[in-house]
Amino acid sequence: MTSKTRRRARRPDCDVAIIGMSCIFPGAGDLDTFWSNIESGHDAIREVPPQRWEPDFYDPDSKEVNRVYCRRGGFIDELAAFDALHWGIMPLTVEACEPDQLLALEVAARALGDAGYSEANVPHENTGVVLGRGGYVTRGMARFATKVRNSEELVQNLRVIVPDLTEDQMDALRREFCSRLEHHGPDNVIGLVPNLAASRVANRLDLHGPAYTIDAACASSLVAVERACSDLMIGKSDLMLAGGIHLVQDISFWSVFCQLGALSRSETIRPFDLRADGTLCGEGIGILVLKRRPDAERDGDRIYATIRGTGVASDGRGTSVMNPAIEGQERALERAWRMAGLEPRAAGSLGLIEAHGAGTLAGDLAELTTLNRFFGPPREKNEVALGTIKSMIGHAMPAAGAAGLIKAALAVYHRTLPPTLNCEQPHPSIQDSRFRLVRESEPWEGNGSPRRAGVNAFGFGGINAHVLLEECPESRTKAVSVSGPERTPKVLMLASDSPAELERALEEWEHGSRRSPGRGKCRLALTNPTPERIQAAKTVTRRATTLHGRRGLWFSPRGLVGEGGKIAFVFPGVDAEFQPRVDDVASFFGRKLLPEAELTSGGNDLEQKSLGIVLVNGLLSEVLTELRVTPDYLCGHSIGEWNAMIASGVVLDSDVRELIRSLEPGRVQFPDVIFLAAGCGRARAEEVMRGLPELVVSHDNCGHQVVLCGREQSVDELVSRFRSHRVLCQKLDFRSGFHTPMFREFLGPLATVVQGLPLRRPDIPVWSATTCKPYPFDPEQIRNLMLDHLVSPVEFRRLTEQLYADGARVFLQVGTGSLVGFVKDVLNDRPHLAMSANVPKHDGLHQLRQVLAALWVEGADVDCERLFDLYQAPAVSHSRRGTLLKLGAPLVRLDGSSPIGSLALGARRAPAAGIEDPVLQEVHRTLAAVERATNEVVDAWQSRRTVAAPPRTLTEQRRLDIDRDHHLLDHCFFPQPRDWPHPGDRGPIVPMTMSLAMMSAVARKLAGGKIITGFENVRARRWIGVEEPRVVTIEARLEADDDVFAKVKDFIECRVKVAKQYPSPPKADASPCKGEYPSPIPPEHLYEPGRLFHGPSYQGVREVTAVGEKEIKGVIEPLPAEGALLDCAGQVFAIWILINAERDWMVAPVKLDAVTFYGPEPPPGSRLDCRVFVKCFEERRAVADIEVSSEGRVWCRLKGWENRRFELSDRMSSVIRDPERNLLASPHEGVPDCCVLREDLRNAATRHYFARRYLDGREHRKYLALTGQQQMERLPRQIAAKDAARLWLRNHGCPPHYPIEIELHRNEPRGLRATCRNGPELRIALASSGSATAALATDADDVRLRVLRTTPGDASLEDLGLSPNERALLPGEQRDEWMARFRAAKETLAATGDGRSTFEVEARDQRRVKVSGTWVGTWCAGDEMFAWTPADAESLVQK
Amino acid sequence: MTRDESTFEIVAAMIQDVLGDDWDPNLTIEPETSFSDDLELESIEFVALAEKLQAKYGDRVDFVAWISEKELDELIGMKVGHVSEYIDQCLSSKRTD
Repeated sequence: MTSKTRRRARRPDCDVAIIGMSCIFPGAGDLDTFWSNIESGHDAIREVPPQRWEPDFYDPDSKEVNRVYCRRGGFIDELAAFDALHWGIMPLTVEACEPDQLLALEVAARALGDAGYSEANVPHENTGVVLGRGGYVTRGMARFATKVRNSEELVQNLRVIVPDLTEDQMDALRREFCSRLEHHGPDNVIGLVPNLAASRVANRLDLHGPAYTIDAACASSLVAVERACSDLMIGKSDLMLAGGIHLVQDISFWSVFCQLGALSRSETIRPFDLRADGTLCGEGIGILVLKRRPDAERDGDRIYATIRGTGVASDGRGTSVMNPAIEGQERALERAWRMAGLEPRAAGSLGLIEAHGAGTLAGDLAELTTLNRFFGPPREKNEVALGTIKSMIGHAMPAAGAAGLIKAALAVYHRTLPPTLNCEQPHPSIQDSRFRLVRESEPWEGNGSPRRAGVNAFGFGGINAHVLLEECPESRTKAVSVSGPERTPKVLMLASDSPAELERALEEWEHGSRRSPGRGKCRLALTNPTPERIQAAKTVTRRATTLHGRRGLWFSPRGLVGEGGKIAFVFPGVDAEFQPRVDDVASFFGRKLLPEAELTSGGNDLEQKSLGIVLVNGLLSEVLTELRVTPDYLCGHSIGEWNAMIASGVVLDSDVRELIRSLEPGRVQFPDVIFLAAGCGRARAEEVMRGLPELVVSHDNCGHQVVLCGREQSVDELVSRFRSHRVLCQKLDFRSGFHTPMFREFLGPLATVVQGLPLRRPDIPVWSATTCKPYPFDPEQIRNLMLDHLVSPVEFRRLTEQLYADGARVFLQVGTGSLVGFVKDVLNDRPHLAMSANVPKHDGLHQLRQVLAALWVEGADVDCERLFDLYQAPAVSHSRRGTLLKLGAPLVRLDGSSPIGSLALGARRAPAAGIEDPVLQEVHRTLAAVERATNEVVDAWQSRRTVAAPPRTLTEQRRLDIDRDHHLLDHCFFPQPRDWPHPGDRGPIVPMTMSLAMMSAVARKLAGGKIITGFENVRARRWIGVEEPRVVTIEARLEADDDVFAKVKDFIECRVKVAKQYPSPPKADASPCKGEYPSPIPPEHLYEPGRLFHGPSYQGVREVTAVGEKEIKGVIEPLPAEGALLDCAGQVFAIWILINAERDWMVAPVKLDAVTFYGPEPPPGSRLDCRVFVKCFEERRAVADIEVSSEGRVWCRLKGWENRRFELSDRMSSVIRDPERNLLASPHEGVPDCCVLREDLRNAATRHYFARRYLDGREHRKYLALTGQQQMERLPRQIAAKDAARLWLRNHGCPPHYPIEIELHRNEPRGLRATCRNGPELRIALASSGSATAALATDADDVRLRVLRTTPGDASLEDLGLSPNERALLPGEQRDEWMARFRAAKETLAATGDGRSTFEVEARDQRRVKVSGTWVGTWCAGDEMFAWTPADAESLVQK
Repeated sequence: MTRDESTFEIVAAMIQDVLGDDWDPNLTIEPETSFSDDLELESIEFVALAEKLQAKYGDRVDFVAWISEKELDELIGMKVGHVSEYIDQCLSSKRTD
């Protein structure tokens, strides 16, 4: 080491910024807790939790390798929560997965959240993950090895001990042993692959940079950070996650450290203390988010600290692999400081050393020597704080460096020197050094140089790492203002499908298991989401009524825009007050605008004020567009209408300014009239003012405000009349006479400008406040209406009504003024949102944020990230909710229920003689002792042995075949024509209740003469479809005397309850339903199409006797079909849903919590009362409890019957109700025999349903063989083709067809051929139109269809390609459109490939184009052009 | 300060009614609650409130006259308690008449 190398100039771009961190370490489930524990000196060391490893292993007096002398350490069991649902990881996978992989995922996402990234917006391309992770025996691997190896070890050795063990007994024991461990299989063993700790993070967060784990023992984390920095500095990556993870897993790990003598015998970790006798195991995970510092500064990231240097070095041959070499450590430090270009020995070079300090005397001494040598003798004694996190959490091994680095970065950031525990007798060599041990937190005072901290991590085998941190000057001010107001306010945004789910989402968010907004129409936005405010938000969601931003909370249960409501921009005109707040808006969005002070300096000068208003409105309109707030309507109040015209593109901004200049004093004169605002409606005002001369209504704003205008004398008289009528009124202090006939004679100068205005077609319709309709298109009419508006009353009340009637639900005042109040007053209770983009009370950006939040909750796709800090980082509490991962690998323990019972008997008869192996002899002696002690018990066993022990498991197979189980044909989801030959096409499905009957039949055989008294935890995983005969496996396992676990393998499972007798039947609930009314469905109509789909074998619902708000009562009758009676109980529930669901009425059962029988099933012919209590009715599910009773006594109770509701569009619904007559594709408005399929079939359940609905057996089998993507491509074409054929049949007087009655074949050379069961053969042409699929049917030989997108620009280019004859055929008007028609017609024919290369347009009529002898139909709507042949003139539909 | 419990509650209920959807369930109206700062009542909503008061109390309370005499800053600083006090005053003076 020479001073020359040290002083070498450093590359200025070397610094890497730490911009986000997260961790779980003993006692701290999150970063905040970690820091507060550090500051307060929290000792997280405790005894090992029993679930980690058995206390039997602890024996401080033993030196055996399978005993350990230390059992204290740092553990995170209660903090290791993982939200499998959020990450879309199956619970089965979670069970067997290495917990470190799942925790890495959680903590990585939280670290990114801390850095301001969400899962959605984290840059994917150049982001990587490097995690330090040791190759120790981990929990997942230990458990797996136990299953694979130890199970075999057990039985093979047992066989040696007990030679007459049979293969079956060994198998049974092996199975029993393995069943005590979690499931392992092809679906989840990937979770045991070690590198997935990093790769799973990259996978789930979709990161495309490098992702790997490294093992450098205790230096792993810092080496990971070094690798990450290096990738950043050479530009290979732009964002890196780096850190380490370690869970103190297996007892073998403890054993190794005890054998090495590394663990403390006193079970206390005392770094740098004279009494130190070893380290303690710790564990945890820490991840840091790193970015190049200039990038972080550019992005405005919070920087905890910058990494000035990293150094990694090995001892080489320095010393033995166990003993630390000072040279190696020094080398690592030297490399880091050289990289930083800093002199370690300089005064003030450093303020804090986060030491390795594992608490072993030799190790700590070596580290002290290194530090003293490297940083030199004291200039100022003890100026550098020395400590280590290990005194609080133990030694987290590969994760230790991450713990130390996070601690040091927080110390730098919070300018605090944190304490170290248990070092009351510091090593003497510290006393005269530059270092001192800090025992209690102290402020970290500056000393002229930046605050710097060095972090050490030295690993076994001589691998050393050092990281040098420095405070970021900019972060100082941020750190100081931590408690001050945030620069960018945080907002919490959450979306879900219902208020109840949203409340759950809030809870998940609170507990840190949710961090992305989610999807759904029910949305909430909350600024400054403190715990108290989140509680308040829950109250609001519970109330489930809309809230629009009072106190920073927005909530909408459905979303006005989400439900199809439209957005209107309403531009204000001249108002009594004009106090815009736009300075900050202009500067934020980089717009030039006069400062507020100047905008308003004109006082009540009309020209100045108008100009100010129009400029402010214009600025806000542009900014809103930039924030992706897109209006469907534009309108204005008074001169605000000019802004509406600018925004729509009708007039130019500059032209409007010219118009305003004509209001300049001197250029225009105003009538001598004043305005009076009155707090009443127009009718009332007109009544009060009756008889007063020269007084008119100028603004009809709303039901509680009109503005009147007239001579002062009349107005004064009116004021006193209003007073006596108790009507509030106020004179306005500006004069113009606008919107009254009195202004007409002064209109001249304005009219001159308006007449000369160049006008364009609007992009978005402008609605007039005079006519309350959209502005006309004709330029002359536009000009007249603009002038008319100035002399006619502003009909704002009617305009609001009209817009609302047209579909507007959101009214945004784009400017400042009173329009919001008017809109609210007009619309009153009707669902709407009215708000202002600018208010005098708040600064401009603040109000824009209110607008964005409100629009987002209402379902608009606005850009919130521009103005908000989307608060997605979870506020994780100390003990997190979610599923706690199991971190331990306890021993497998068999109990009395295992086959070991019969093995003991075998052992008794095993010959002990002739065995020479001393171990086996010992075993036999032990067994003999056991035998003696339990002699009586064993005798008893033996005496019973002649009686076959009842089996504990039973597996049966059952063939399901509609030819035998005819009743299943009455449980079909897909009605087909009565005479359809293939019953399988009807989609017969085994009812859930029949599955229960099947399982209970098998369970009964295990129950030893007992009876079945119910079921619990019924979970249906898949439907059992029996289109084809199918054999299912039914397994039952006796778990306890009264409990059999049963399943139909792969389909459904439950627990069957058995007992000697039924419980005594309680009295049935005989009270009337709440809000009871008679059933709207008469009994004879219950099983009609579109209601219950059941055939006669299941039609056991006799009548519905009453329907209530949340209840329904009916009479059901037992039928012979298996499970029919309980199915009927479910049908009664389904009827309630039919009556109450506005849509999505189709349901299927998926869950049933419990069934209790109070007696045997009543015989067929009985009449039973069935009463359903609906517990939950949500968008996607409905849950009920059901009581079936006979003569006032309950026969059966079903609790928690859960139906899944299918999401259906209206069209889907209509097809399900009447598949013979209704089409899924909609008939095209202008193209005969053509239909367009626009339904979304991306959802697999929906897609499979309609595949079954439309395809016959042959087609369906082909469909099932396709990938999901192929299905999504092919199925819409098949549906559209079949519907086009069905449409043709309908249009040509043929009988209606089910989709299945249309058979499709490929038709050479193009399109499809459709054979209709009762009609002609048709040809079908297909074309895609955006995301929709169009199909056209004909009985002619050839059919073609093309759908083209047209754009005006394309058409003008087309002009060049037209021949003179063709050009002559173009009409004078709509030339663009006709050019597009010509092109479409030619392309339609050109696509034939029949050898012709030139096509010439020869003629055209109203909608057709004749190309080279063939007439081609064309239809133009919006930007879509349909072109087709054959196009007979008479079949054209005229628009 | 004395106030008739019921008058205040009536006024508070009316305000809640006028605010409709915008009513924040976490906010309780106190006599000290201000119309502009706390409730963010807009002028139109104020008119609607005046209308409700008149419908309730009729000629006994001339709310409009009372408001019309107020200066702008008085109006801005007005609290719910002021209104209920005024109403109570009117009601009791009518009774003593």
